[in-house]
Amino acid sequence: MLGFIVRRLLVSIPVLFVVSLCAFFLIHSAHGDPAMAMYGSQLEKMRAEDQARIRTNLGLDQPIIIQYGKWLGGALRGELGRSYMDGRDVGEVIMSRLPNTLILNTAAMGLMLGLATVIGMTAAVRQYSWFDYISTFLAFLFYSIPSFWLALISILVFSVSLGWLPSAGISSIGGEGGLMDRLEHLVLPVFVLAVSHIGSYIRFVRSSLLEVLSQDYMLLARAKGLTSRQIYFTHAFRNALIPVVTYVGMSFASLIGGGYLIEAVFAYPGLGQLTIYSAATRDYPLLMGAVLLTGVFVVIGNLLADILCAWLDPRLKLEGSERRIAAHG
Amino acid sequence: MVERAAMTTFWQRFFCHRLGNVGLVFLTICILAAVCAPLLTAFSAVDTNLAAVRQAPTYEHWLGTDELGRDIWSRLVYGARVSLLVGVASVVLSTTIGLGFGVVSGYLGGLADNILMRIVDGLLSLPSLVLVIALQALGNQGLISVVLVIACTTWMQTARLVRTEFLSVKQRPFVKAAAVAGASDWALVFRHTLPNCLASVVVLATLNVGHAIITEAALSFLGMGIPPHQPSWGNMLMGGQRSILAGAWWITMFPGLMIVATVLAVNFVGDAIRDALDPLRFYHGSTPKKTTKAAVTAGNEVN
Repeated sequence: MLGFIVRRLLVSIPVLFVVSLCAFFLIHSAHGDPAMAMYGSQLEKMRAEDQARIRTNLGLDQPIIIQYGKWLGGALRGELGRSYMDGRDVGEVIMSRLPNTLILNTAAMGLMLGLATVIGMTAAVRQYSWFDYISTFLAFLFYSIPSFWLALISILVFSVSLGWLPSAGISSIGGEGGLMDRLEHLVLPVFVLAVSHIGSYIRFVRSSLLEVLSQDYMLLARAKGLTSRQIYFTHAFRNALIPVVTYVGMSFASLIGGGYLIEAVFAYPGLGQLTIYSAATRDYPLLMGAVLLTGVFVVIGNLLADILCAWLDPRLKLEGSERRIAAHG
Repeated sequence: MVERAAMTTFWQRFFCHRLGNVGLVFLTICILAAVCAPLLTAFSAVDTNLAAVRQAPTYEHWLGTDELGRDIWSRLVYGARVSLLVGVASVVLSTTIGLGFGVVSGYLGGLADNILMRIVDGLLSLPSLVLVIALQALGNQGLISVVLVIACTTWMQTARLVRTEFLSVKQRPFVKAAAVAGASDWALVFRHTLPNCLASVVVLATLNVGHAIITEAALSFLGMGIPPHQPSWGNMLMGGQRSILAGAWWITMFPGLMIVATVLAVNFVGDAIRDALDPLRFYHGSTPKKTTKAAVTAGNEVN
């Protein structure tokens, strides 16, 4: 097991390196350099030597590879520079937003996986029943609904029309911010995020369980005279969940990305709102930091999913991760 | 239903999929409406009319007017042009990139393959939405830019799929036979291996059209996509957001429903294509291995 984890960790290093390259060069390929973003049209009115001084201060006169090296070195020590907009430390700003995003994503993922597992497995156990058809159709439907539109509609229904739940933020203005208040503000974002991802998971859980049920050892279990309950709970469900864990790992990026959009709609002060805001205001250090951290997040998520998978399915420890990915497309 | 005999053509199998037919009909109507937009609309999709701001649906304005008095039906019809164009154009582009990358990776193998796939892994570790937002916010805005940005952020899944398929097809006896018979490398790749990889690529590409439509809408919704005065479903949602607290539901409702219906139709067609391409699945309801793979490829959504 330890060997597997170490091997898997080593695979993560080049991936993280590519992520850091992306975060840096993506943003530096933009037209107009950071000095431009910082001062806007003011820059053109400045004297040439002032412009040069600003660029030197920002390190823009150095070759881009050196700039990348400096940024990466800083990032490894946890120094991501300062925001152009308000001069605050990027690391600090990100850390202040991180807990909110973690809470939102964990709650939504838990809810989504729980629901998808129950619905998908019921659909598979009762294949071709009305429940199967309805859940398959709903899965298709949820998969096709843009999450931000669902968020808008839920605000329209539950906040504007019914007035049951708040439409934005994480606590009431001027309120004490008690636990109930916080939870009330979480209900809509969590539900919308969970529902907007549930479609593909229902389909995946269903087909995964169907695959397990078609295996020979299921026939053996029946021939042995086990009851349906024993077959499902001791043999089928556990094996059917292994690919699901892999799938969670693989779709971790889209889960996080979806959460970012939801944060923007609900004005939820998390990492996603920060990313979108920093992109809109061209706050390069903040954007680079946020993109980098998002990538790190996803890599950690993948890693945990793989380790969990190897723990559930001992066969995987012996193979390279390459084989496993190939087996699942 | 055609008789489930051994000999059925792709199209016979395709038209057996009821929801696929519904999707195809819906998409055809959408395309026709988008092409004939001037014939179907009485009002301008761009001109504002401050005398008719936020009107609920009436006989004159079937679907109401938005916060600047523009007719929602007109904007919806013209917006279909943008959404469908972005959906198709970006997928053609991203599939081309993915095919090239995947074939090169699968053909070269070894260290080069390893490096290329680590690049794909790294890019897939960033949510495509974050990549899209970063690229789009910092670049030029507009239709072409949206197409390019979506294509540049969605080709990785295709590349990975093509490589996996390529590697497995390469091992099959008929390819080896062709190699023994003296086929050139060129013929081996483009004549024998690649065509046999295309089935699942077509399915993924269809699903990606839906993904691209949603991404365009998300970008425009955030104010980073199509310039706001141009009619696009995402732009309409952005405008509608400001009117939601005033209770003007129709501005947000109709473009959203159009997105859902279009993406649903695209996904149904994709499902029908998958069934039609895979005779085994067609005859036996499902082949578990394939459904697993399809579910994985279905997982690259944006919402």
